[in-house]
Amino acid sequence: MSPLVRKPEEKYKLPTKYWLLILSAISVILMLVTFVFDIPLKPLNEVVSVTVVPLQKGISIVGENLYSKKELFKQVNELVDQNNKLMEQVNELTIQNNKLLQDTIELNSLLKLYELDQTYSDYPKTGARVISGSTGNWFSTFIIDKGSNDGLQVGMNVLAGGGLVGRITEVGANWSRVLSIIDDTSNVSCMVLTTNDHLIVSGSLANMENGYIVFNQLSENAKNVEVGDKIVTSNISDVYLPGIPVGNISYMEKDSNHLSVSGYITPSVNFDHISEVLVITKLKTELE
Amino acid sequence: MKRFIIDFILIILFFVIQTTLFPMLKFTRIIPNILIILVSCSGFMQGEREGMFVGFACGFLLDICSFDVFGFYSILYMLIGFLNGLLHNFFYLKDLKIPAIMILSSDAACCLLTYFFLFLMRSRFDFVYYLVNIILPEVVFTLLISVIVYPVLWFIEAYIFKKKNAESS
Repeated sequence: MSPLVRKPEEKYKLPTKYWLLILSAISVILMLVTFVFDIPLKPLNEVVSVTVVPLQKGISIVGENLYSKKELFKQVNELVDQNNKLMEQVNELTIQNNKLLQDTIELNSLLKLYELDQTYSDYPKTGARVISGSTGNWFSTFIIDKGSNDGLQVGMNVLAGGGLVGRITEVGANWSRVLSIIDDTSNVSCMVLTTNDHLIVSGSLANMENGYIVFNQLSENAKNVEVGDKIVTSNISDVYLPGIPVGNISYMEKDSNHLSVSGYITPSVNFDHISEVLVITKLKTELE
Repeated sequence: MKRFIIDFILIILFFVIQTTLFPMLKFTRIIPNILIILVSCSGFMQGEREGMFVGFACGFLLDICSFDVFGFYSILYMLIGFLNGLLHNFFYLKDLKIPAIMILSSDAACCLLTYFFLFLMRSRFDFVYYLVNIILPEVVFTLLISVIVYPVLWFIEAYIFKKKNAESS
């Protein structure tokens, strides 16, 4: 070997400490931009649309199919028994139903008289599949498989099983992030259905394990509110559409300041088993 | 280049497993933090540079998918990857104690800082509750899962490592 053989020149690499500084600076700037100025970061969201979301969609579809197959085998015997029982029930219920139908017709005509016929069932809705759970144990957010391509926007309300699940906080092309009402940072302005007293429902990580969410700021003067009363979203909330069921009061107690009442609510949605949700494609701001 | 591609695939794979597979399996309410295993391992297996980049990428994905303050997880995971990388010199493929300690302390640090900045700052003072019900189960579960995950990462590392030696000689 001649001594003149040169080593191949190494490519220049920026030293690690500079990279550390640059990336830290980027993070801090992003934090400031999103936290202080509250500017949404649309282009960054598309990173997830391309990389992660297609995989998540695939896995959740496969997983659901496997799960439902397994359940199917388990349940065939139970179903036969159930079928017999249900047939008896159908007969009873048909009679009841006829009676209720008559009541509904009467109710509708009365509601029309009062012009109160707009309930949450009239809002335009679209179904979506939950493709990813929360990323850790601290927050209760999840990702659904529809996004701005399907007309979803930030602030739209999300329902499941007839109750409020949360609202959309971030939208990408083919995904959206939903902040559920049991999340520790979530606050919903609600009211008691029977008395129209307003209260604030907040998610709480500490009470989530017992299946409760917390309410507070119910006025002490609201004497007629009782345990078991139904809570719906209030008409003064600026993101949630009015009249969506949230849950029932399961415990209440007077605050130490003797001005307000707080307590627990059992949500009407089972947050452990959400796989499909309904998104109301109408914003509160469009309603007025 | 090969390292970049493998890291990229691992990050996406681990992220999808953590966000989609674990919530679907529903062993418990607690989800193990396997991204921290990846960040911590790439830190002390490959050095602070790789650890920093992998950490930043993982944190970036978490930021998009989880919380409104964008950049918190990016900076946290990047620092964890970087600090793990400083111990790169103590890394021997056959030693298992140091990786276990590193993963444990990384996850604990991640949990504690998350509690401190995102919960304590919103006046959630009941630290003991969060410690017993969330931080400890998560750390233990993560350590258990790392028994499965670590050999996989170890295998990939040993494989690439060998290849590199072969190419340069």
